[in-house]
Amino acid sequence: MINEFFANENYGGSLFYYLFEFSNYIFVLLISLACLKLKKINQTEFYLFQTIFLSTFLFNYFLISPRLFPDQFTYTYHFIYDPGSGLFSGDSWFPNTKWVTSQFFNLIPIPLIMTVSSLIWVSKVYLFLTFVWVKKYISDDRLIILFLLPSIFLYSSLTLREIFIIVTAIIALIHILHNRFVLGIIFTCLVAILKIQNGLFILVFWLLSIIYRISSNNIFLLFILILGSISAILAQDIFLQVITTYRTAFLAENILGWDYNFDISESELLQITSYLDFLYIAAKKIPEFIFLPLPWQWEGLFFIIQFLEAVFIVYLFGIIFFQHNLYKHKQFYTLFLAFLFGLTIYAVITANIGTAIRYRFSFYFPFLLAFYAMHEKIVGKRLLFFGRF
Amino acid sequence: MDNILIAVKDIIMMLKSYLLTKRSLYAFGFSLLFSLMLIVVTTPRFLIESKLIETQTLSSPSSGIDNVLELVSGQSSSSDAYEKFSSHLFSLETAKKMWALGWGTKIYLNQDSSEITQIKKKHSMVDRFSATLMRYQLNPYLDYRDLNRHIVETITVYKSPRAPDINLSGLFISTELGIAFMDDLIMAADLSAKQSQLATTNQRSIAIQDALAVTQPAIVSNSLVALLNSELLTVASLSNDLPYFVIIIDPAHASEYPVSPNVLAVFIANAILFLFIANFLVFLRLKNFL
Repeated sequence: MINEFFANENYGGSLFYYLFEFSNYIFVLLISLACLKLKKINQTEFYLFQTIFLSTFLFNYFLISPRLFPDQFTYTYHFIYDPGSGLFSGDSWFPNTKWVTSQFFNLIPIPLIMTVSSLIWVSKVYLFLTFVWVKKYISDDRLIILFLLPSIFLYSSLTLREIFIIVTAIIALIHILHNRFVLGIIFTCLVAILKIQNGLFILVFWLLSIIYRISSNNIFLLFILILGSISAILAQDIFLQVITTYRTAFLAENILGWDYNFDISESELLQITSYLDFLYIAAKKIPEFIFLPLPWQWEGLFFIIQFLEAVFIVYLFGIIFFQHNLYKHKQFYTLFLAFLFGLTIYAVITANIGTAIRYRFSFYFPFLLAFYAMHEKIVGKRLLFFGRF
Repeated sequence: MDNILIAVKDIIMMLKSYLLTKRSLYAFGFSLLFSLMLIVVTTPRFLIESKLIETQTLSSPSSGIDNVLELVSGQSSSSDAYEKFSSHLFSLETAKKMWALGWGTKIYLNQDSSEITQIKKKHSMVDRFSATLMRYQLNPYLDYRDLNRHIVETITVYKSPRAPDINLSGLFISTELGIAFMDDLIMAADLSAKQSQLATTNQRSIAIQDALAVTQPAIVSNSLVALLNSELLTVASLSNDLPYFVIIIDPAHASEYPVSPNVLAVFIANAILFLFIANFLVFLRLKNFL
């Protein structure tokens, strides 16, 4: 069944690419048709999702060369030639991310894995099924608007693990939000395997939610705050060393493209010496990180679209936070603090615009949906997105 | 749970009512015929691959950013051998060398002949129309520029950011031709890169010798002598027939079976497409679209 088409940047210039990928599209189309028939989605959502599905043909080989995201070849190669390497490879204590990603791809039996674009259909199915699942928690029929963000089109149209990170993070956050802590931690672990830092941010939400669940009494929360502050002060050295490692690794990986197995003690230039230093850097970088890429950094149409998307997402966060005063509820802060923690860490560690934008979206999107679900759970009133829309 | 079971039963019934029909059988039959036709008319193509690794070239004096990168990485910055090799691979200079080796006739006429010097070039209607309108001459014969375009379209060169090996690949109808083409291309690209490097090094050596001829403080003279030694060492390394920028690990080799078309995949893809189209047409007719 498998051929070596994917090894070539130009799929041999034949029309077989379209023959194979349209067959795969029909498989995905049938899944969406079944959901339509079962009334899990309405007709508008069905048609809009067809545009998301068909955007597969828009990116790889058409708008961009697949080599622009070389990890696509790595994942496809790993999926085809090295599926049995196991959860732990070599002496590493940390699960093999590539193997886990392969298993995600394996779970949906796409008929023809022939090119580097074939596994994209798996990401599309996961995204679609997540949308269907999220509809149970966000009854607003305009939820589909969030799934039409340009980054969703882009990342779901590439053979990357971005969609798996987003999907598992959404499921983890919503389970935790609805007090299903065991399921929540299972999915948080999955997120951590796929992207360790995102798992950490959700873990913060998990911990805060458990504390809130135990008691929402002010004195108890103050006691926890004091305890947390003492722990943070005691763990300052370890925390700052980890942050410095990541800062250095991000710079090294993005500029050099190498594995970052180097001596951290040499990277004095990026060393953060205290929490004060950390907060100062964060305060400087968060506003920039939120709106990246800024107009003077634009290098093409993609950058303009991503800037507009960043502004739109901030607008959506603003609406969810402030409309119907969600921020006045104590539970809001369990999610908001985890979100702020993630935002701060990402703002401090990311070194290059492209990576920052990519990481920001896989972090933003699950939290956006979680805030939306929280709004529905706590406030229970319909949001107004665009005036009387 | 009951709802899910009912839903699954519904879907199975729906699939049965569409798939287990005479219409689907016809569609399947047509898909088999179409697939057979497609496979018969398609020329099989083999994957030709070669694996290389880049050599560590003599590094030029590092800049400020290099120092920072070296500091954060703990390693010296990588050589630019891959960049030089891959740039020359797709250069006109390499295409010129390949053309001189007779690859024009081998690629475009499928024959190895040194007697044929000119190969007629076919221009598209649009090109001819544009040339007539704007009154410029079209090149009547193929030349190394066309061969350069062929190289760019056929050959893929890729170096993983986390591995030292360089992979060259391309799809070819003839395995013998493909293997010979890729081997010659690697050597021609490396030779182009070498010649370019040699020219630069020679000019640099002359400039250093000129600087040494003028009286200099001892510390400057010593540095210049060291630099000249380094340049002369580079000249010595470049003055032989071996590849300089890359080391060939696996010479060009062909896949055992044709990579394209994949017979089973073509049958499956066509069966899915035909079954879908047949049932979709019925659906459209039922909804009075047809």
